[in-house]
Amino acid sequence: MNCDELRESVFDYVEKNLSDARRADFERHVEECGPCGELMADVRKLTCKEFVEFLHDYFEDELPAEQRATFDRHMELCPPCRDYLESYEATIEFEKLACTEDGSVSSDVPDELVRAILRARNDST
Amino acid sequence: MAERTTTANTGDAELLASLRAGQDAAYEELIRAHGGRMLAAVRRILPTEEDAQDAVQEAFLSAFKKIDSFQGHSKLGTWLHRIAINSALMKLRSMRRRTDPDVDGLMPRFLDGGHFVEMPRRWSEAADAPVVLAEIRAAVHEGIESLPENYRVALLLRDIEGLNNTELADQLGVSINAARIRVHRARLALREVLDPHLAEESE
Repeated sequence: MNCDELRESVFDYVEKNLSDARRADFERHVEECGPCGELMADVRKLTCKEFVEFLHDYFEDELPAEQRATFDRHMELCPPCRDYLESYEATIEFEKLACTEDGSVSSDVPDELVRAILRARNDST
Repeated sequence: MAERTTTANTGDAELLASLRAGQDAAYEELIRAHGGRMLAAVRRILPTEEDAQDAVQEAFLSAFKKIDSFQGHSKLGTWLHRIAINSALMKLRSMRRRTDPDVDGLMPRFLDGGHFVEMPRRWSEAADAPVVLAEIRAAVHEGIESLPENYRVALLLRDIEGLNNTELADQLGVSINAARIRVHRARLALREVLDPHLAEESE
């Protein structure tokens, strides 16, 4: 296994989808290759659950640079989390779409309400 | 102190002067100028139209009483918007609550070790077809309604009403971090509701 193949296999390795033989290849490469060893150390810093848990911090740019880099690294190697982030962003967009193009956006105040408010004001002054 | 009137605030300044002078026409103008937006905001928070109109009425009456002490640090409309939201939340708190679902049951699920139980799927990009859009809107409303009350309110105030985190924490009466987490979990729950409508079919 070379470094490129390793990067492509990270997700499957973490999800325990690799065959025994491939898994052994993977682990051997990690032991022998400095950069890939560092990569895996980085990968282990963040699980998918943690990715989702702190997604709002990432999304609102509240993470310190180092943690942000860990998140970016996780997404490079984990397609489901990339997809999850996109769906999180889309959810917010759909919220706005749904809540601001319906009848609740009407800009007129019913005349009866205007009158009721003015009456109430006069009653109390 | 130098005058700080900008184009946006000139109209405000004149209206404010008329209001403080007690001119009736100014009060009507204020209601008509800002009431629509206030109604729109409280309609999302409160269950019925009657509740929404009551909240707007209370908001205006409260604002009228405070008009003399309004400093002009923000625009009149922004000030009124905040009073309206406050009024709506107070009304909400005084209502009998339905039984809230537990938010944990609405969250995405993970195995020990932090792996997804079900892999998230890509969402379809064909989501802007009018038919699909109508379905999504309905799903969003249903999803927001299904949230526990605290989470629903946090989501609306942050993502729809645009309160910043400090304002949100203030309104909810919790720490900034707690407020942010509440919004985040509400979004996660809503995402789960939308997922079946949007996920691309697997090959």
